[in-house]
Amino acid sequence: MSGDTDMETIHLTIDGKVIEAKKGMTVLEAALNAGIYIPHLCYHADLSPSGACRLCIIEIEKGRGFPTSCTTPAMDEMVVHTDSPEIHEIRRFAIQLMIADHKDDCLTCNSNMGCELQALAAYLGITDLPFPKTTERKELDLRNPLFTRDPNKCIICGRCIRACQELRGVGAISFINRGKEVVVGTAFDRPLADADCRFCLACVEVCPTGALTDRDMAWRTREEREAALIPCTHACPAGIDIPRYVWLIGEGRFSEAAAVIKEKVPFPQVLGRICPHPCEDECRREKLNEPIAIRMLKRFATENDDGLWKKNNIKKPPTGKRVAIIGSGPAGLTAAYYLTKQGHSVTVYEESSRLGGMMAACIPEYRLPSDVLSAEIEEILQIGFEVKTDTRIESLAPLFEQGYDSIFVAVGAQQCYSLRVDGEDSPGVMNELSFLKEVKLGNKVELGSKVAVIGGGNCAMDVARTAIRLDVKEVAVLYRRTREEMPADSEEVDEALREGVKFIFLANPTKITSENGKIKLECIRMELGELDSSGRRRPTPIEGSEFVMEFDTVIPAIGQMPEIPDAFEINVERRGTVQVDPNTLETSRKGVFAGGDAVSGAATVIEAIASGRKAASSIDQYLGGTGVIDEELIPQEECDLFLGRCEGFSDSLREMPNHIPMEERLSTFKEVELSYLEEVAIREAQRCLRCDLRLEISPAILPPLKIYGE
Amino acid sequence: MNFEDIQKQAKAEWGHLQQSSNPRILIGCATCGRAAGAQEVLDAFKAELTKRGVEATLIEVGCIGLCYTEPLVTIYKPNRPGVCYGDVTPKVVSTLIEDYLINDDPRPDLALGTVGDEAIEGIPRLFDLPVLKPQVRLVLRNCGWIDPENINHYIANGGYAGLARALKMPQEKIIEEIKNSGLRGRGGAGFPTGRKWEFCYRTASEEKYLICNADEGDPGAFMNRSLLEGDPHSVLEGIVIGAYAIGARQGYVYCRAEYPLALKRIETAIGQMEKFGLLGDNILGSGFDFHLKIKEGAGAFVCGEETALMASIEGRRGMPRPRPPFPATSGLWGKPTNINNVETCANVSQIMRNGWKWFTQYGMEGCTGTKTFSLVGKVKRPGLIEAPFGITLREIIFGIGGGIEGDKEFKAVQTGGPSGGCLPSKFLDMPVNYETLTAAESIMGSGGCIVMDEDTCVVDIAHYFLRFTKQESCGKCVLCREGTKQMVDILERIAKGGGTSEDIDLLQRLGKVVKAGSLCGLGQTAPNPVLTTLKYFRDEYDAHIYEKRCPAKVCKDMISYAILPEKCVGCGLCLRSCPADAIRGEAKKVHIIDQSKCIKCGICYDICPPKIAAVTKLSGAEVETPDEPIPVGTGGEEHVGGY
Repeated sequence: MSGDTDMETIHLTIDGKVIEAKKGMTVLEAALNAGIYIPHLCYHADLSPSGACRLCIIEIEKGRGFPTSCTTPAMDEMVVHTDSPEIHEIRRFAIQLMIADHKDDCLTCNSNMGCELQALAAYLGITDLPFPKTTERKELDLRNPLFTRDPNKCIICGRCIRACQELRGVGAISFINRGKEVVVGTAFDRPLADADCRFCLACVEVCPTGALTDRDMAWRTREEREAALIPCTHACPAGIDIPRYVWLIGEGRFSEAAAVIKEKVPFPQVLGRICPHPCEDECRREKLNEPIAIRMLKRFATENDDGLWKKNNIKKPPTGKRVAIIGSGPAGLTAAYYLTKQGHSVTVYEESSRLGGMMAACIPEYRLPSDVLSAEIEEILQIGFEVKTDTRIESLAPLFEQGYDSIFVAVGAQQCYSLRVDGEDSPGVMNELSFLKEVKLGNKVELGSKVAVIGGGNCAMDVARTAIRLDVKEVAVLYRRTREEMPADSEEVDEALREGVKFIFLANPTKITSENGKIKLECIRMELGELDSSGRRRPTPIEGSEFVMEFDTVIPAIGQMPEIPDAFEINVERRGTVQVDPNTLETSRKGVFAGGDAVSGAATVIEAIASGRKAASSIDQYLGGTGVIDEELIPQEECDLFLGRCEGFSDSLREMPNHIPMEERLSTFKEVELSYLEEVAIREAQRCLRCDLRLEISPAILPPLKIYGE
Repeated sequence: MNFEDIQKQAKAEWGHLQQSSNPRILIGCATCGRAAGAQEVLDAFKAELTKRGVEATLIEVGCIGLCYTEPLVTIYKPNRPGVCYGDVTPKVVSTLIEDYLINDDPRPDLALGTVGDEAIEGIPRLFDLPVLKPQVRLVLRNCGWIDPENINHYIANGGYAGLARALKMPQEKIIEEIKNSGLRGRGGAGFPTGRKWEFCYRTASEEKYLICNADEGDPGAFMNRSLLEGDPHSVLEGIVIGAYAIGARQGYVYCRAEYPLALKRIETAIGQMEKFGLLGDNILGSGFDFHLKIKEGAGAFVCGEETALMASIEGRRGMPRPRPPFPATSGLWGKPTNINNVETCANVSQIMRNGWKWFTQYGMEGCTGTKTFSLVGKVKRPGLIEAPFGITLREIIFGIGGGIEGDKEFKAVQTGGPSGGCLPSKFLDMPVNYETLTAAESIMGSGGCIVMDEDTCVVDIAHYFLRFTKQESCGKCVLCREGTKQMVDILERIAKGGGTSEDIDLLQRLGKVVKAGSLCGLGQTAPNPVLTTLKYFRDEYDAHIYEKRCPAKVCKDMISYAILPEKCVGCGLCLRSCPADAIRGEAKKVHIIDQSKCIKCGICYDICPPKIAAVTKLSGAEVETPDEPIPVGTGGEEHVGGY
């Protein structure tokens, strides 16, 4: 009834007060709109009225009986009374009847203080029950992984059913049985997945009691709630609006999707290939079967971008301020990009001859082709900042002397951790970064036939997979814990295995000796004990389990740390990282900010980008700007809440990307992973549960906090 | 073919049948007749006639409503009035063939009455029988007398003349005619049909619908079923007239699937109408198109409620919704819709044929015409009856119904189905119409009429009906769903002896709330049996609560059985039939019931021969019985206290 286009104004009297309303409104809508509360429970602003709870009954002068205000159209000159002894009696009985049938464990209920039944009972001053409480206990429905249905708390208001049908167009659930036996469920009580449920959780969102609750979730603030409900965006260090761009891809609007990504990151192409996608780890669809392939979708969108975003790409007028950025990795270039857009004059200093930091120097070609990176950097450079390659900065003072107002230190983590075992310096033991750099430069690296890689992170995988593409017989990864605890992406491990890399788990090197060009690697067996600070089980050596293996080359890859020149005169932490204010990234030296791996230690590109954004914002503020670097590259549009029915939705599996043939993989450095085809991308995007949609649903209107009659 | 030709042809066929030299045998084969054995009777006629080489025309007809004496057979021989026989069995069939068809003895001893102008000595006129004499059969006039599967029978008896007349009239005139007739909806609420049509007619819409509500759901009610089985065309004619009047081109008959014969009859009738140009495009050349579909309901009581019914037709769960919007403005698929009851439609056909003035001679001021009732319960002659408004309950129960079975005391009559009120004897002389029944806190409903005698406990009966409405509640609105549940629980508590004085107050308050606050008619009427019994039979509730006594001796937890020592003859019948092994005794000794073992099934009470009547049922009283079986005749004085 709302949504009527006829906007004629009418006047009606409610409880002696003349109020204005629009024609087409119901009496309840008119009353709520005018700030007059009428008790209601089955009514929800976004749903069609039902009239089931009987609480919103009213009396209309010259009318009969007690019509429900949620279904009665407001008429001009109507005189309405929202309360009378008879109405009060009916409302009290209605609530008491509901409570008599309701399991009340309010203090431990997930909906405590958010429960509308509870609020109404208080509002109507219910302090006793004329009926015995039900002792019947129905079984909790735990058959889906995302929410719990407690039929003992269901008041049969039907909001969930209406939300599923009217908001989403799915209609997976309905009333079953009749009379007192009525329950909400699927046809033939099949699991929701078989009833084509979209798991959008609109039902949970509109449930007025604790009958439908999110599983294993608790929050105290709106922010915490949003983070819990849309975990992908929250997990993304750069805060990309993932549901929005995934939806746009599903709609076939790829350039718009790319623009959404561009709103937060200047390196979408790079991320589309090498991001370790923390978003996917949190994806709610994983609980159902497999997470959405967000990274692959990002890659697809950016590869099919016609540059729509450029239309709204704004560069502010010059501020006259100058910023020097040391390091051209993802953090440095990101900061440069956004600071330039804020109108500052930026110079990026890079000690090598290539821009891109680790992305350019170390990330193997088969994961991130140089031309992709170059093109992306080229685009970033178009915003217009100065770049000075082959320039190593040893001290900050000269920069300030040159007139820079602020400096951003983004030098990365260039120094490899040592194994701290005897013989580490033996010939045949190689530094992982130099190895990767040499190979990336196309230089010949002699490895012999057997190579050992030590470590379990993404860098170790890069080394192993690079080594196996060279002329070697065997590459083995030694890791002191098991596959479960490996920090590397599981995709990387899978591909390494597929390419023939061997894994030796629960083994730790204790000594390296070199004889006749061969390396003897002495190891000890490990076992997993108690959990350590990283939440993983701590490996401890098993006494007497020492063993020896022979290799031609050993490449430790157990992490890197920053190497900050003393002349920077900024404080560093114990592990070599730069000490910063976590909120502003400002260092101990005024006007000097730091970010990326230099602050975090070796981390990911997305984290570096996030850090670069944060630094840009802080530096902008430092320079007198607003610090607001967020931008809208395509306008936000009103969300279509409708999902529609999709057969077999919950069973649809993640689309796996295609790879180039194995022989090509092992003999070349060609990019392994192929992009999605259009229909595959759309299909994958449409698997998204659209967790974001539930936040578009109007909140319930709770009774004013007062005791009835006052 | 124009309508005159259709009529001519039909009359010729009907006349041929009347004038035939072959005897005509009408067998009441409606569902009720079949339940009583009409199929066997029909088969017996077929077999016997063939065997004996007697030529006769067998016609399966509907029911004339004399349920108490079914199967019914009426035999017409040339130049004789029809003779109606009741309680016909295959054995009676051979007797009738032998005696009447072959030897021309109408067997007055077996006959119920004659039909027609002439008389036969020794047989009363059927319509002079006390069961039929007070009745006025307008709606049921054809039931039992024509072949419901032959449209010509209906047409020859005046059928479709009303439609033919209506199609020549402007829509407003038809509505005017119905308004003048004073016809009110027979589904229960009694809303003036003409006004209902007018609302729908006045709502401008390309599409409109007319629905005939044949979802007769009241237990013990069978008015609509009987009419659809016995004379489907009278209903369908009214539907087409109504559709024409409001401007609907599509209609539905919503009939419960539990009525297979009625459904078959409607389907057959629709086929015939289409063939005769009485349904479909350009009906009788008038340019009016109307199509009719049958929608089978799955038997939910609530689907008789019009908004639930429409939801059901739309393929949704049959749940009511609040009004407004009323169906006349937004009904089926959101289009203006008119919903009329089966009996209303049949009345429309008659009014259009005979004119509104004719109709107003029946009934009373403000409530014209007749009403069909299904008279059931503890009456001598249960059946389907039709009487003008204004008839008293006494005339219905004691006149037509013949009084209470076993000449017991009348206690109450429940009108209007399971959600009607139970009216005590003080209302027996009240003229029956919508307003008087409402004033007595009952309802007309669709015409259920359940008679109760002194052996009926009002707490038990209120519980029975409320349990029905509780089960049939759709579950949507909280007052009906939970309220009826709590009321049933309270009544159960009272029947079990756990009732308290607060329970009466709670029942009353809750009943009023459920009645005033429920969403649809089901909930709004469900408390009626409780509220009326509380009002008119409060003493019985009090006996249950304060004395733990069931005056009608029905509530199991409040009764006991005992064997009167001075009456017991020691025959052992009770002992042998006791399923709980609770009776001790031996031949010629007074038997004793072990109260700790007795399950109060009442078998001993029923089996003890009435001449002896040694087993007695007690509530709130005790009799002295010996501890051990003692020889018969040595028992003490009769010592029965209370009930």
